[in-house]
Amino acid sequence: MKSDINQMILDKINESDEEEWVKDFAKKALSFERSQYVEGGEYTDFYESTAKKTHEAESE
Amino acid sequence: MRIHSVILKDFRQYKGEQKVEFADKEKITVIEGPNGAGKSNLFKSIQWCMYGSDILEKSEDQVPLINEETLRRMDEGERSKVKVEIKLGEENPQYTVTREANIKKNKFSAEMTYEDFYIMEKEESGWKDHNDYESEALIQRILPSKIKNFYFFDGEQLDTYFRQGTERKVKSTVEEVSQIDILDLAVEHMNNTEGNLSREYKGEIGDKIEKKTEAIERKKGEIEEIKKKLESLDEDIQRKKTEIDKIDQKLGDTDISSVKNQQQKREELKNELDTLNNQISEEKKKLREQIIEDSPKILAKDALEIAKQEIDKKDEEVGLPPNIRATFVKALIDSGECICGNHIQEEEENNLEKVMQDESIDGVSSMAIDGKYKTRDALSEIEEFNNFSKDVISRINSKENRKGEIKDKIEKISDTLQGIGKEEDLDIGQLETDRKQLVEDKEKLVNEEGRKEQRLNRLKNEKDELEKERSKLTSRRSKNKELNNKMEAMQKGKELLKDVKEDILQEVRSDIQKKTEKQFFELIWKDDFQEVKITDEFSVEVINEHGRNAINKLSAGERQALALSFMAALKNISGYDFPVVIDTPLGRISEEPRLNIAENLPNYLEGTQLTLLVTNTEYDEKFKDRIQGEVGEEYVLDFDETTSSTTVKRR
Repeated sequence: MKSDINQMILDKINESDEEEWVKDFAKKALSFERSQYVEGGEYTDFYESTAKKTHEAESE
Repeated sequence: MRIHSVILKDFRQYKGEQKVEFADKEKITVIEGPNGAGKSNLFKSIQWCMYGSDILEKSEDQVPLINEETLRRMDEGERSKVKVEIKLGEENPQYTVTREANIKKNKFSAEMTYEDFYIMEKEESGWKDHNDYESEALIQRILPSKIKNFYFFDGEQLDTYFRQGTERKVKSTVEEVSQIDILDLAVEHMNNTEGNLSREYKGEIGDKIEKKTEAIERKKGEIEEIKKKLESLDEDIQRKKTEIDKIDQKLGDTDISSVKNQQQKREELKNELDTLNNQISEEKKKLREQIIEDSPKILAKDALEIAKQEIDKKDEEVGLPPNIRATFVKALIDSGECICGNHIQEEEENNLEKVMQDESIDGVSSMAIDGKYKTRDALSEIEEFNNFSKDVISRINSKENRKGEIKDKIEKISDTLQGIGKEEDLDIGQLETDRKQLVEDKEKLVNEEGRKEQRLNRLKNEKDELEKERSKLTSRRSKNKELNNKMEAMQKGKELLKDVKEDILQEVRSDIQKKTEKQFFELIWKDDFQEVKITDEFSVEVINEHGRNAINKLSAGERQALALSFMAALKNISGYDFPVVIDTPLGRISEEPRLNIAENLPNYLEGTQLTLLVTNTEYDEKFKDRIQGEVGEEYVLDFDETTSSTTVKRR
């Protein structure tokens, strides 16, 4: 993927009004899609590893 | 990156081992050969080496990869290899990409028993062998197969690219080449995860959620099925169009003047028909937009008329606005006497004070004025809309009538051509009968495609609705907070990525538009065009000096220049530094535009290694003159009819 389109996607995600944990989660999900060598895996893993804490703190 | 060399061994026409060395990035490599000499097979051999037999067309299933002469000399049961090797790199070769097919001769056919694919990569310590798995991954990193068509251009296909109805193709191409389809993949993946999570809900709401999930999955299945059918229909339509174009080309190129004239007339009528279709859809779009804007007023027309009658009645009775002003009340209090002559008591005075302070008196007044005029305005706008829609409908009807006349004329041309029969080795009647059948088949397919698209949109809406309902149900459930949080992550993540995709798609569209326009104006030789546009709906328009879309009036040369420019813009967006190879780029173009394109070719794709596979009629003396000094390597494909084999000769 052309690096500036990749950067454009990341910039758009960062610029959005969404909460931080949603942005982290979306970025992690995209890097998962980009890696062509990883088989299987679920997005819930990323949620657990990146966004869970901030999400729970924000939804308290 | 550039191609240093290609070695072919027994690939189709290329008997034995044949080598082509390519010019560096600043120069053009020209490979010239008559039709049938193997230009397209050389073009295919590079792609076959990189991506395997998937690149071969279905119609080629029966054509063996191995050279016919080599096959003829083999004994039944004997095996041999077809091999293509490409050296790629910057100044020096960095990769050697090799694909070999093992062929076994059977009694009536050649059977490919297996394929070997491997890449050798130059490292500091020497050449490193990659196994087939690593090699497949490496070639996708060098140039992903899904965007290869923007580096290997087929001149014949380019010409048909901007025919009508290509919006979906242009949009999906833009998505693919910019690789923002990764956002779709992520959204789809989140959808599936969301579906799996919702199945974990238990209890009454859990059951309902599960049912919704099952229904969503069913819809998704149906959507996928229709998408596949649409893709296959689209391919069928494109095939029919190409076949029709080929017949049109034959009829247009013939020396029989009556046939040529009829074909020319038909082309003109078809262009007019295309323009009318564009104008009608533009009118319909305007009408739709106006209906959406005015629909609240139109729906409230009866109520507005009743309101107007009431207001007029009141206006006649008492006059509007009502004759009450805060100043009148103040004057009453100051005088201390009512208009009936009685003294105003303290309690009454307090009430009047309250009324005076109450802004609603003036509010009622201004509302009455507003209501009076706004009701009249709204009714007059409805009247304006009625007149506007009558005008639009009348224009549409007149264009539809003209379309009917044109269709009749085209029908007559077809009848005339069918009646001509065989002339100068060309069976005009048969060609026209075939063409008529192809047009009928194509129209049936287009109608079928329309119906499928409607069904697809309906299914997508139904799926979205089900997802909303499921989302409402999941938010009602609070027992399983963890599950809710995960579902929320999927939903919010999906929404965010969908928004990002829409934003980027529009930015990429605008970038491709600018680059296409720049290239087009550089390749083109006239000042007749103002602008190249890719609309929000992804239809490509070329705006002429009168401000009108002239896409359907472009000559073959202009169409080819536009397609070359669009492909170059897409190549640029994709960001891969890979050479461009074009097969018969200017085969269908008459001399003047061909020479103009030739003159501008060195500016085209500056800094990219360019290889042209050309026929001798394309690459004539005048063409050579124009690109003189730009050609770094020049080859001729020498075809021997007795052995059906080609030898590559450096010129």
